[in-house]
Amino acid sequence: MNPASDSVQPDAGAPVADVEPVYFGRDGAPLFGCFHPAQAPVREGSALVICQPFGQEYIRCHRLLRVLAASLARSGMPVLRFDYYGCGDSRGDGEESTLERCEADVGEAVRFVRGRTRATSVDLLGLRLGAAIALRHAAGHRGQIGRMVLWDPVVRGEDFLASMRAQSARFGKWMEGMFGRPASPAESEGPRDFIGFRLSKGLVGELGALDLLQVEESPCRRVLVLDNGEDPAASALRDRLEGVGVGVELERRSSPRIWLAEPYQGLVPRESLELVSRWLLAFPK
Amino acid sequence: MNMNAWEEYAVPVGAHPRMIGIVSRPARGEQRPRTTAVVLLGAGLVHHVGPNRLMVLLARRLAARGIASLRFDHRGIGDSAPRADGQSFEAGAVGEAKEVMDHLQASEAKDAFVVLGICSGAETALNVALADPRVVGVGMINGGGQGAGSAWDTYEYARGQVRHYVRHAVFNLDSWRRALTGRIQYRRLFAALVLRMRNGLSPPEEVASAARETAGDVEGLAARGVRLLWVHSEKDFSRDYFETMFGKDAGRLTASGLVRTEVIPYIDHTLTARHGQERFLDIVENWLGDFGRNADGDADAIARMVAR
Repeated sequence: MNPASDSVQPDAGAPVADVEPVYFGRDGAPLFGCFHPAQAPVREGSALVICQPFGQEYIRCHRLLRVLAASLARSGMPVLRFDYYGCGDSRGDGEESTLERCEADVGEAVRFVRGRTRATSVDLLGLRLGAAIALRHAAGHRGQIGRMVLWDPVVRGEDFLASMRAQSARFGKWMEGMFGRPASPAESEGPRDFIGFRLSKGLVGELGALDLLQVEESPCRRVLVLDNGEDPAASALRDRLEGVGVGVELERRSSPRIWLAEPYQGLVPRESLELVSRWLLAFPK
Repeated sequence: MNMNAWEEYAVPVGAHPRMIGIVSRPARGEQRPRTTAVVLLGAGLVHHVGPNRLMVLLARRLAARGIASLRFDHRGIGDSAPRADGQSFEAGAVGEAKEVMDHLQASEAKDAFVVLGICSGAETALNVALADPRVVGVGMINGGGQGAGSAWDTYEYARGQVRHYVRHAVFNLDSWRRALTGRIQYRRLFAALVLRMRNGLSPPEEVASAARETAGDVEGLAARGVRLLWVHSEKDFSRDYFETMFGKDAGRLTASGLVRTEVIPYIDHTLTARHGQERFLDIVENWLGDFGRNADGDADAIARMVAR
């Protein structure tokens, strides 16, 4: 057997896996995803696409989102986690990533899930920048998304960039402490380098203009905003979404902010995870 | 990088529960594929893309050079489901890497393997080489001892802490400010100093014995013709483990040509700084670029090692 590129080698005869690696999307630049088929009687018409965070936050949140996806699938909700173009196992270089491309990738993911599950309604869950990407996609495709979970959403791109710069500065300071000297020019990070990842010029520009409070179209019927801090932007987003006719629930939980924790800590915020699961599984479509 | 020079496919690997892996290989007609493939192990709890997506970048770079690889998640980590038999990670990791080699042998017709890992993956890589004769190369990036016991870990930790206090903290105004205002962990400082005083300059026998055993394992691998690459971040504790294992013998080992050591300056344990990422990719690509092209040199080096 000689599998084709960007394909999945068939797993004939094996027991049904709780997760299936998949490729989908455009020819020449397919996206990689992990599909969690429903392990219980399928909830009529309901499937979930998870929009992951970006850069180092993507690495740090991977375990959390895998645990969440597996848990929902065990309860009967099929779930797709996927990597945007230029991220994770998908094709492309990180420096080619743009918000516009990521939003288009969400569309490919939604199409894949509809085809794979015959879902009549697809929900989106976005974490951090993934929440902003999910919301922008949904607002541009009215009526196609059932519900959304926006988990610690990046509401303003400038705030996200400021947070990245602060984290990079802390990392630089920590390095100076360890080495007893500042980085030489050759060792210094560039202006678009954020703790291990270089953002594209286009993405930095898009982030500078990103403001979810400017949303003018209703992205879907119901939204859960989950805030793991005391971010006033979460309240502002709730007000804005209610203003365009969305039913919004804002929940605050002081769970650990996983996107700030090193992966070796293996943290999974159980309380937040259970809240999200309950909300997604609570009412019939 | 030329995106058309390589191709990838995802594959469930091994016995149930299957592990999730991604094979990267040269695109058909692009390069003459080599019979040696690379198994990319994880780094702690980071999933198979690796810290800072480095395993993806490395795999694609190698594929463009004609070298196939498989990056995967051990059971219970990343995208792979947990083990069903309750076995610990340490106990299962070597067998899982062997399952990956079995897969590459059956589906990609590879008969020799280089195993490469970062942090805990480096320790697993060495153990895989000891357990499987198909391994011809081991790449260890910032690894510790070979399944280091707690006494060795404690010794190296204390050594690193004391070095930090002596070289940096005592000359740093901020450190003194923190010390005088109670913002340091006095217990940790005290414990490190006591341990260092108790041990003097040499490791305690328990540590020295474990280090000798590991050094012997490494020499055995070299005698088998296995090539070994150690990559250390400049200030990483992995350098201390290496020094404890080999001491003055390190020079002799590297002179054999079978052992190569590289140090990346001004970089952290998981290779976060961008300049160090490029250096890491260059080092591994360059090392693997030599594979299978220096058979006579290998034989000479092995003869020298065995005759010693």
